[in-house]
Amino acid sequence: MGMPDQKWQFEQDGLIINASRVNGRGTVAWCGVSDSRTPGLFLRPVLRDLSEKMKGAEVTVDFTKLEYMNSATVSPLINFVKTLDGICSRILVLFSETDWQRTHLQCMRAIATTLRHVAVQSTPA
Amino acid sequence: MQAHLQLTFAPMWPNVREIRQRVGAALQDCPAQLRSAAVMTASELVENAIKYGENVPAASTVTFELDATPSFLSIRVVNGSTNASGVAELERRVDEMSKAEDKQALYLARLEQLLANADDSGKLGIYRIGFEGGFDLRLEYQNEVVTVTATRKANGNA
Repeated sequence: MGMPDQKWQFEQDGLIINASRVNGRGTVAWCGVSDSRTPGLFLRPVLRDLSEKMKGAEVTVDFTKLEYMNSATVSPLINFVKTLDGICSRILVLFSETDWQRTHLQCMRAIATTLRHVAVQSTPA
Repeated sequence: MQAHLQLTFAPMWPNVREIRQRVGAALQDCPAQLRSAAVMTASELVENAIKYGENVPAASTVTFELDATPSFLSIRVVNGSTNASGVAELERRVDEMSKAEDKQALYLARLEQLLANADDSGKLGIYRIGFEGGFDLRLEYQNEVVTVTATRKANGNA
């Protein structure tokens, strides 16, 4: 018998993070809007917890359903991917090709060149 | 496409979301890329005004203005501040972005700093406006009133 499917959901003021881990494959999907004054207060403990849950897995971090994020969200977000890079076997980061996400796609690709296990892909809007 | 919006509001955080909705609605006939850039720029500038603004005699509230023509887009945010050193730091970043030949490089350099120090945050919005939004920025500080104006051509980069 394998590990049972594990699912988690975190939500705050329009931002929903759905995560799961099934047979060594993890998904962390961001949906909605992250525009709180100090998003790190919510995100840092949540993402620290999720990092632990994803340890050793192949993880897809999916931002395609994220509708908007403020610049204060960027630091927790990129540091989450960096943390996963240190503890996971493979990380796939997905962005949509919508206008505002294209910039973050480019930047994440640049950052990924300094990381070992991170690939970045886009999906049609 | 022609739009004008002038709003005055208390420096309260829920107004950031309201501004994004109002700007998005005002520019609904714009190309999606321009609308998205304007919404982000308005949001980042209003966030700054609410975070750092103060009630001063010449500016007791935050003022937001959007002007759009078929060829030009302008966003202006006005707030009070007695923190001259904080305004000077903001002006330094605005100047740095305005003079940068490679705005993406400036944005990426800040991302690298944030990656190197996970507890660091902020000071990214101005660079984002220049790089992602394609806006030029100008800052004026007079009589304890900060005015930040973002402008760009409606059909291309600033």
